[in-house]
Amino acid sequence: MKVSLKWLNKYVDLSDVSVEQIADALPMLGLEVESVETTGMKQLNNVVVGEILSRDPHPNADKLGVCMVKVNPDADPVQIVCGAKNYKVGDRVPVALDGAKLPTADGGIFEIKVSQLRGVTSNGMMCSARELGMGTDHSGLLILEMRPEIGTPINDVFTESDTVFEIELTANRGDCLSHIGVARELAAKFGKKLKKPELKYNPIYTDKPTGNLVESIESQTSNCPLYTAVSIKGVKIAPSPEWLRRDIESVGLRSINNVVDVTNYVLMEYGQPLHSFDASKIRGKKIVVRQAQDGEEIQTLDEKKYTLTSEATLICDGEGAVALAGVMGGLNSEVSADTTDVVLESAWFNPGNVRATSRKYAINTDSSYRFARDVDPQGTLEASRRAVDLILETAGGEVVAETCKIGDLPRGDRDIDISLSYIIDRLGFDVSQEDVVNAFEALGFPVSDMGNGNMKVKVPSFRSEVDRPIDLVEEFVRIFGTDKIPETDITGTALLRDDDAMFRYNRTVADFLASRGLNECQNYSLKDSAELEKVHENIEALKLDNPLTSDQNCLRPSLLDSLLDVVRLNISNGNDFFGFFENGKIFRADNKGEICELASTAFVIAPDPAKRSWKKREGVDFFTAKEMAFDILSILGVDASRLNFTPAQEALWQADFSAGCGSEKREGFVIRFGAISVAHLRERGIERVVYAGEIMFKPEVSARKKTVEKFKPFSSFPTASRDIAVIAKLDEKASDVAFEIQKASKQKLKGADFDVESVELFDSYSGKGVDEGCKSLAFELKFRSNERTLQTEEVNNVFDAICQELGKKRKLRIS
Amino acid sequence: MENKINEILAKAKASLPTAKTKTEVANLGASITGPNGELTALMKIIPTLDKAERPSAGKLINMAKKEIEPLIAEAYARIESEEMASALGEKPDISMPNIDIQRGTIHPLTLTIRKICDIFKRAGFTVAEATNLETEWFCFDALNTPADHPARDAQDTLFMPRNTVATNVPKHADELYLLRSHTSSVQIRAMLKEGAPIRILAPGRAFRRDTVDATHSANFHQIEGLYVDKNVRLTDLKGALDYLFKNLFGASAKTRLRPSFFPFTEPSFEVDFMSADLGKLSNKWIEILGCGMVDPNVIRNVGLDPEVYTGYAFGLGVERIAMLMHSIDDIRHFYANDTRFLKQFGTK
Repeated sequence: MKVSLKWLNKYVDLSDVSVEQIADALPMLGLEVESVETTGMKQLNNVVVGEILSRDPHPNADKLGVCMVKVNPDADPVQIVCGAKNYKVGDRVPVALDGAKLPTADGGIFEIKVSQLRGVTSNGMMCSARELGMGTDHSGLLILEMRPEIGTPINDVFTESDTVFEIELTANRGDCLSHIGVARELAAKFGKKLKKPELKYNPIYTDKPTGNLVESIESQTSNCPLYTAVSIKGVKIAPSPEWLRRDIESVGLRSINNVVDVTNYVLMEYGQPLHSFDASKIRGKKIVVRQAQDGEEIQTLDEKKYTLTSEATLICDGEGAVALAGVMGGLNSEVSADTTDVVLESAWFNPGNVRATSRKYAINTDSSYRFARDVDPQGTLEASRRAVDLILETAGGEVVAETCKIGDLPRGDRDIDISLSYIIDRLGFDVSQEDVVNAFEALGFPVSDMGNGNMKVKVPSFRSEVDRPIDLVEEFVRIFGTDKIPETDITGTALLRDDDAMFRYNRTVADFLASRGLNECQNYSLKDSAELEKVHENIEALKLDNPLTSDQNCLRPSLLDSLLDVVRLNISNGNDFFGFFENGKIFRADNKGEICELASTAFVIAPDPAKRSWKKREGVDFFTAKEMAFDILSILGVDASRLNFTPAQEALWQADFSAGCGSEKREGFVIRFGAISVAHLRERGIERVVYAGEIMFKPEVSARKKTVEKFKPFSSFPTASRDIAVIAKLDEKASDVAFEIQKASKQKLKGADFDVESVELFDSYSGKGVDEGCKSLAFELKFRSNERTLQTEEVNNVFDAICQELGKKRKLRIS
Repeated sequence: MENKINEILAKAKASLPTAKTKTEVANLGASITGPNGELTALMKIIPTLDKAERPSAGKLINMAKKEIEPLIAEAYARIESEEMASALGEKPDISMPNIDIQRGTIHPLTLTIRKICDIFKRAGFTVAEATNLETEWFCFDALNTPADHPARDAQDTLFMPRNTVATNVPKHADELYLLRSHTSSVQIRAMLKEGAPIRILAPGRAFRRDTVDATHSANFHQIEGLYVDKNVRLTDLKGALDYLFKNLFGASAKTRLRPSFFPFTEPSFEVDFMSADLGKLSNKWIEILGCGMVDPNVIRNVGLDPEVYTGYAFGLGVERIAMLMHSIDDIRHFYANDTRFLKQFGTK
């Protein structure tokens, strides 16, 4: 909202307060200042009107021109070097001559002197608007289209000066959507008195219209608890007087005619939207406020047509809609050049209803903006009286009857009991009752002293949101000044609480993965459902109800899609990397369509296989991903060695090169790792193998109680080891063979005082010497006793027995 | 005899220190002290000597043996060391580049969250988590934001369809599911679960229906802070904020509270801070977060008595702080994950 300083001065004398002080004070009152524009100018000596007689190119600078400028009708023209482009010979422009002091943007002063510019003498400077301290226009010279006399001091050309503040208001400060509202705040801040306009028109209110312009007024809806109308006869529609035009134009409104301008003026003055109807266009001399019928149409002042539903509130005459209540007037009833009789509406509409209508039909007006922020019910009456005064003053005419007032004020003044000790308790520092009383009274809240620090504070109707003692504490702090809050140390009672387990897990796992060479990513939680459905054939995209764009229309079911995009981006940007990971939330639905929000850790590993190095290291493979997945599981507190992995079924994964296990329902987690499907990578435009993994789990898995490990004593005697190679089918699992060996060992060591400590695969071979379709798996068996060093013979005996047992089912190669 | 022994000794002293392999040493050893070795041969002829010569001959042979055995052991040790040293390979040029995988990086948003959580942890704040999927009641109603409040406009909030069921996001009644528009909803979840006193930080993602540009992102990160206890006052809030900004931006950092409005706090403030060490932005007030004293209605909505408990809450934008701290000019860098960006943070 724009507020003119000149206009503000009508209600509070700010002549001794600088623009900077006001611009600093407003935000500290809670009124954010978006911009400050000064129009007109300060007193500037040695700046006069000049006419450009000629322009020649500068001999030493392409961008500069050398002009002869007439600045005194009785003297020779002077030479001025200028870099602007927007002028032509014959233009009149402001010229700052030797000794002129121009204001700079940062509040300083720029003094003009005769100087050499690239070797050419310049006797002054031709000025832009900004250089004169008038606004921000610096696109070129300020061309004086009115062609004032050559040599006229510039202050005689621009006589008026004003500053306009663009203020951004929070939703609770509807009372400040007006000059009086802002003036009240500034008066309170600077300890000045608020002078409201003197109202001459003193209406008598009736609940039925009198006079003959309107015969019946009725409100049939709770969205309009208060409606007033006053009839003025014999107005003469004409252009507004200069002061009225200037004021409304200073805040960005367009002057239309005296009556319409008055309603707009009062809107900006009181914050109360008014509407003037041409009385002759009110059909049936009847006004009804009611909800629209579904499908009912209205054409508003801006000539747009809307088809309404019953949520919209209408002002109607005897035949149909004449205004969309609180939002915009209808085209059929507007005041025009030949209007002579006017019905002036001032009403209070339900803020929520106005907001909903304004939003639904995307009509944002000064009126809807204010009604939606809860205008002052008392102001409804005052603004109407003020408008009557100004219409009579600017357009003539006479009030023909009493003001018709239907309904009652939906909110009046209210008393709030508060004590000084309550305020001090909430603040944490001492203030005096005098400070408190002063602050409230400055805001226009009368205070009654009830003794013992107790006060009764009367909050006027213009403050819709001050209802409770705590609200008064805020009002006090605002006016008292937050800069007076004393510095204190951070304190608090000890609370024995730890960080959430998810946070601790994320931190540990991120540190681990980063230490393994992966870079952490943050990717968007929202994805394109069409893209996802192509990749995850079994997952139904969880779409938003109101997405903004189709490429972010559903929740991500996995972190891998985005990580693969990151791989592609970094490849195409020519970056060297090992891999990436992300910790984040994903969303999946079960077969009933019920969504579960899961935590996930995913990684991708895709170093450039063609990267040259002065020394080659082993590359990455399936087992790089497997180890990483297992380590993540161990950080999560899951023992991966006890899990039964099976091939991953989803098309995202390369068959035979990927595995997974778990279900979110049963174990609370789902795991996948291995190679990403080559076909999928190619579709994405990634031309290298990518290994990946994703551990998806219910957040509570990270909080599962970990059992405290109990120490198991270990042997101080050496191991005895024996190797065995077992022939297995190519598709047999090594883990199954290892299990067979374990089982045979346990069986053969039954009753012995030593055990097989480990059975570890160290070689897998197929080819020469091994039957077609088979592989040779070599294991090392380690035996150890807790009590003694094992004898070769006893180990041999047991090992032979194990081999015999295994040999019953399998071919062995014993070395 | 003595000559013979000296001859053997001399040969051993000459050959063992220059032996190249363990086999060579073994062979040399065998040729001297082995069953068929020269010393062994001399030993065998002792019985054939004069009775008077026998003791001294035996003694000489034993002395020679004692002298040779360490030579053999030394030769073995020398060769083993040489073998091990040869496993080191060629002498490296220490200026050559590394070949193994470098340490990866932690994302700057994660680093910023950690930094702030660590600062507050010293003051007794611990992390609380809640889901990104939320319901209208937890995100708005419980936070004293009534149904017709502008912040609830569908234009700003991303909703889930009416029939959505989210198994791990309990509803209050039959309200709609949405993606939380701020982390303030964690206040409600945490207070309902843990009661008061409570002192938490809730870092996490929030979502707005915003067009992506240099300063807006469809999802972004916030950290919500909440302290509710008996006798928590406005000065405590100011103290907590000063503590944070002095720790984040240095001892010269100052804060000011600018009156503002949030439905869930009263009084409410925007916090501006100023630091001498922010490049172009030095010594200017910069809007950085919203805060206030928890509104009594919020305290009541989680079943606590606002006459007994008061508190403060604040919500800060992680992207904004990270952008200020590191002079990052475009929020989209955080979500592009170009390694040339990622590797600039947390590696020094």
